[in-house]
Amino acid sequence: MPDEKSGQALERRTPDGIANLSATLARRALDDISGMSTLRQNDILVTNAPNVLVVDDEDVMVKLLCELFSEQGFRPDFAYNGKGAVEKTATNKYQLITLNVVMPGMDGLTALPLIRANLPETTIIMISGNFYPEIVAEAKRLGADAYLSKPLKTDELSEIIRRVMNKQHT
Amino acid sequence: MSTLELTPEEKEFASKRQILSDKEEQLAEKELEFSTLQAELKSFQIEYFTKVGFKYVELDRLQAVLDKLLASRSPSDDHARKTAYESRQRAEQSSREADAFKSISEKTASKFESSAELKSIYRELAKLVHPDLALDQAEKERRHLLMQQVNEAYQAGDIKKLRDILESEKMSPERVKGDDIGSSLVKIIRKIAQIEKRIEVVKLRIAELWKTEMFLLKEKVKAERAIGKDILEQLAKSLDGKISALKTQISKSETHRST
Repeated sequence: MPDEKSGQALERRTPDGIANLSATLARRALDDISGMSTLRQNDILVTNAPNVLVVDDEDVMVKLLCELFSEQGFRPDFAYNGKGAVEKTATNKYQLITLNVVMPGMDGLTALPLIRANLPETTIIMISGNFYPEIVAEAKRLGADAYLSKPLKTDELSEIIRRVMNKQHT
Repeated sequence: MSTLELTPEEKEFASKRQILSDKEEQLAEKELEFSTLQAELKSFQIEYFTKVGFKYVELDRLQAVLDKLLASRSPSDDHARKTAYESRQRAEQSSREADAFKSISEKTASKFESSAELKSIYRELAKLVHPDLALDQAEKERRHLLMQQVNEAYQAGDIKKLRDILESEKMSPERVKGDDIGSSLVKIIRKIAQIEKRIEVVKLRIAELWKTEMFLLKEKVKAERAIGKDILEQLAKSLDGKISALKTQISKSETHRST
């Protein structure tokens, strides 16, 4: 079949093998840095400060939210897409998660039910530039607790933080 | 003929054309995502090797030298011999990976930076020259080479080259062939099937890239950078320390042997 051949020929020209060629060396680095990481799992678990997971594909947003949460007494952690968030919530516990809707790889709405399955009690806030009614309805159905529109308003965020902190102390 | 008098096959043709056009968009977008990911990964890999990868190679080489020295000092010690053997294996593996990287990295731009313009030309080209949009075998082969050039130019950030390909392809006689509606319909249906297949393949390739150790490392480094920490730099320093400690040990062992 001609299209079979086309697929194979196309694969030959793609150099995806390149990443796998350095698999052992990359694994070594991963193992070595696990001891240096600021975001060690133990770090997150040993204190009473509530843990927050910021899920966003934009560095700027991650940094901003992490700093903000840090100032508010949270221990921030982050993931750059839904997949990372699902993996983190499988092993770590968070009191609060901010989840961006539009992300490359696994988006927020795809990740939401998986995160919810991992952490049934966690407050999950969806963040998006556009909240169409159908997105809100879908997010609600999948287990989101609140919605924040970009650009973020600090008072709205503070209100949510306050709610989570109260829940934490009761 | 006015649009009100479309024949059934013309209606079908119009509807399939819409599907084809949507699929072409999807395919172009996926190919772009894949190419971007590859370029980012390669660019990170270069940074990785420059900062720490070659240090691991050196570290492993020195460790192998030391273990060999230690083993030769006590020939009856099986454990020492085994350790020396394992160290050598490890050093060879690291060195193989570094060599493979060197041979591949020559063509790569050291820093990949995409732009809206670059992406937009890529999308346009992917829709125009993608091999899975051709049905004729010779044309497919030609497009494979062309698409390869497109990917290379995109990953190298070479807008001029992408524009040149775009211009010459727009003029290609391939684009102006006429067909009757029946065979056009068959062609469209085949193209749609080919595109759908390719989209699945690209999705799989993207998922495979995501699972590589290098990608995990890249994400980890990126995550730490977001909070202002350069973990690669830190790792490089720690490796430097280990290398110099090994060198000291080796020279001590050599002195020990010669005395």
